[in-house]
Amino acid sequence: MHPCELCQQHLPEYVSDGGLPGSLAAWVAEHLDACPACREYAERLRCVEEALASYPLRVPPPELSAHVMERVAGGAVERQEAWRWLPWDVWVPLAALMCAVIFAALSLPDPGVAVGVPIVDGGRAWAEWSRGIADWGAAIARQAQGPDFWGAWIAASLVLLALGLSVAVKGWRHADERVHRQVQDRISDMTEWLGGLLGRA
Amino acid sequence: MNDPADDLVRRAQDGDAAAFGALLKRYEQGVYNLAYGVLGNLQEAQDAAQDVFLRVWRYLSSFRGDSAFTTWLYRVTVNTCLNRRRKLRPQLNQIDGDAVLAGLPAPTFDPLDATMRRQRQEYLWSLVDQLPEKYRVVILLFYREQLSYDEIAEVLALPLGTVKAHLNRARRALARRLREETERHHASL
Repeated sequence: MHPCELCQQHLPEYVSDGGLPGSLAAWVAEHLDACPACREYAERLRCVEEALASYPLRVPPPELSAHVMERVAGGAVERQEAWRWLPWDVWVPLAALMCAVIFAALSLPDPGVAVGVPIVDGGRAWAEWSRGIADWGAAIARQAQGPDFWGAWIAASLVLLALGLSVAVKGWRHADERVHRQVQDRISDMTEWLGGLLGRA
Repeated sequence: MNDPADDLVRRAQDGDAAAFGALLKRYEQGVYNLAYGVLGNLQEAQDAAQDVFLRVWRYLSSFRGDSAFTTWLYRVTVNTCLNRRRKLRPQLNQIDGDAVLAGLPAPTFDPLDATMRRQRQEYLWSLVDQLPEKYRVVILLFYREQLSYDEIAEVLALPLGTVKAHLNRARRALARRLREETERHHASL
């Protein structure tokens, strides 16, 4: 591409908002020093820029706001109640907890319990069910002693913790003061509640 | 959300009509001009702006502060105006932007003459008025409402590159028109 062509391609951004990266801006500036045609083009763009920045705004007619406020004050416009999303500081821990429960359920050994035991003989069914649960507990205990089980648990917990923290930090940074206050209030309520609980214990 | 109108928005969300009135006063010029930018007609712009503010009052509770209030408001404005324009004048959607840029009118003075600054600006403003809506709206949002490229992309639901391309094409078209008129003016002397 010819240097003038390249220069003129970047000139609008160079002239308007200095949005060009440093090295490219330096090259454009150097080219402008040496090229009268591109300098003249830059001058025209500056004129355009100046005119655009002062482009006149139309003044809205007074009846615009009067008409709107008349309808608002008269109750002619029915306000729609928004479907309220749970705040992020509630759904993030809930989602993390649900994920942990699902992960735990998936990583548990097969209980070996017959699902849907017919309740014909109540006593027999209960005996089979409780034996199955006991077997299942024993299997968990056996597996829990192995490194794989706890490794998976710790990894999953760390992943969920990192995910929850990242979402929470992002939410906190994007939230306004009102949300910050709500969260602080909630933390303070929880602390009080826990304090009360411990005190009673 | 660090919009200075935060408090007004919050109160208006709770149904405070006075706070909504203050918001209306604060943003009516921006909305009205943006509506004019899309519709190109003052009466339609007024009707559309009224429609926008009534919608805002109706649906304000659904604004969750994920973006700045102005971004949300201008998004509502652009959508309302585009719907209105589709209903009113479907033929407008078929205008070829490039053909319009090439056919912008000529001035009767040397546009680069430094003493004619005011005339040059007015001439360029008249050219902006005749730009296709997609360029005019981006110019309004960038220069007058001082939205960033990212915010404009969000308002118009366009890719960032398209926003920059629209703005640069409009600037180039206007600069090209200035050059042509300067050359024509000098040739006639």
